[in-house]
Amino acid sequence: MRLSLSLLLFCLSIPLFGQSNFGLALGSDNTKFTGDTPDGISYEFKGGLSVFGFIDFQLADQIQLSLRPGFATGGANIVVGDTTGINNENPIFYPINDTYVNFAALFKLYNKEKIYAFVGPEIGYLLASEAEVNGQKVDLSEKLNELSLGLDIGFGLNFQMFKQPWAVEWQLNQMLTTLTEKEDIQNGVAPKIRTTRTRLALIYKFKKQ
Amino acid sequence: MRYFRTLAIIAFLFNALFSYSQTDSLVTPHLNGHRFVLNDFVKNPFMFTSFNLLMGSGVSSTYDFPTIPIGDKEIDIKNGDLLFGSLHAGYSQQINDWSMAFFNVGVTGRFGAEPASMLTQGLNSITGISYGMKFNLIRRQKSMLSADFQIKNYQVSFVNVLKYIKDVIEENPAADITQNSNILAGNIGLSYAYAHNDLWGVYATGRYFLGDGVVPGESINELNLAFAVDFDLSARTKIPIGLNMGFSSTTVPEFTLAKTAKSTIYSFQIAYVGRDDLQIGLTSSFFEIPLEIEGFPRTNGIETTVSNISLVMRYFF
Repeated sequence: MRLSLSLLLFCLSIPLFGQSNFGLALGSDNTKFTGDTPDGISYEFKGGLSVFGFIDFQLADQIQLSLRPGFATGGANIVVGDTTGINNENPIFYPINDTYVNFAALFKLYNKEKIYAFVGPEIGYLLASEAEVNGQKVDLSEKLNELSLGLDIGFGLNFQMFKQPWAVEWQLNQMLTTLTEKEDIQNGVAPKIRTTRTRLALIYKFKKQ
Repeated sequence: MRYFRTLAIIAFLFNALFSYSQTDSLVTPHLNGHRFVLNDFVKNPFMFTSFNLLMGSGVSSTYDFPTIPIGDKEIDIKNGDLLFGSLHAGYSQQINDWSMAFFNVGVTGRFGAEPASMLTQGLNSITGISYGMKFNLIRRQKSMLSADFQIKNYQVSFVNVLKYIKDVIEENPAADITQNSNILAGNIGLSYAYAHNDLWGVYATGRYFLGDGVVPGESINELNLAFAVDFDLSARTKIPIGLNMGFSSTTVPEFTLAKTAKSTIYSFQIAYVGRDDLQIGLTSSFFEIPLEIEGFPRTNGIETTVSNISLVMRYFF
């Protein structure tokens, strides 16, 4: 099911290639959970990688629509402190590794030829979520929402390197839906958690603008 | 502190990157020859690049409490008052003629100034960031209409001493002196400005809020309206002063720090407008907040009035 949905996302974007500017990007991500923090627990940033393709359509003089299917890894480091206060100097870390396929539809707003800001929605589909507890991997994906809706906002800079068109982008993605399931939150079984992600991406364009 | 360092770096990078070429020599928001004084409680429709800083403090009027039952005893806590402190900073970047992005960070704290108010109101704080974009829809000589959206991500902490004592006496295993919640709320809105002449203008906004409420499990689903009228005395006299009066029905507790859906804020600002790229103002604001204590129904309906004074600085690039 998950694999077929991922393939569908990519297949949907294939017919679009060749119609306008398109390219590939590699991103360095930092993700963190935000939301309810049960006693003794805090969330720390976790590094991840992302790969995405894009195709840009010129809508108006200063606006482009950028469609972006992608794949991203992330999650968070759960830090469990000693609630008794005896051993606060050695908290325990539990990494949570999430992998997503996502699809974003962004509006790129240009100031000049080189510089732009962008904003738009992003839909994500959770492929896997695993926690590492005492060296064992625990599958969390069944307890989490598979579909997520988020908002992307950021800015970018176009430049030439090796006589080829490139761009660098900084992006903030805020998950608007919750990662944990609504029923579990209401029943007090799970904390209300969302993911916040920052991304620094290097972009290669196959066709000059 | 980390937020402010990050903001400074982002401000520097944004300004260096976008360096928007101004075709108009006046960088402060203006229409029809009138320079507007911006009010932090009322969103405006203007596009600009600026850095702003707000530092404020406030005090509530003294309030009276009924006796409160804890266990078999009635505690008479009489009266008390509250102190407020806030520090907010923000950066706005004009992207082109019709769009801009903005980013804010801030912290607001509220605490009881006397033993009675410390016991009943504890220490509340709210910290976090907000960001969004604004798009100009219509611009005419005298008027302007813009649409915007904003995302707010706040961490709210409440210390409820009285409830904690009650829970301990009643041997509630879930007794906890602090209550933390994370708020993710967003709003979309329209804002409109009209400059009658070079002396005075008005602006107003209507916004729809949706997202998490302060109380865990509750949500916000509210319409917010705000209005301001302002005068630029420097247009007709040699006095470099601007005046702004506004009201806002706020829906998130950035300033009130109360577990309530709505509170109306009245504000008056006097600002120095002698420079084209700078506004420095002193804002006085008033609002009422409820003082209900969770778990103590007798406190329902008790309110106090807060008067707040803020120093606002906005530098336009």
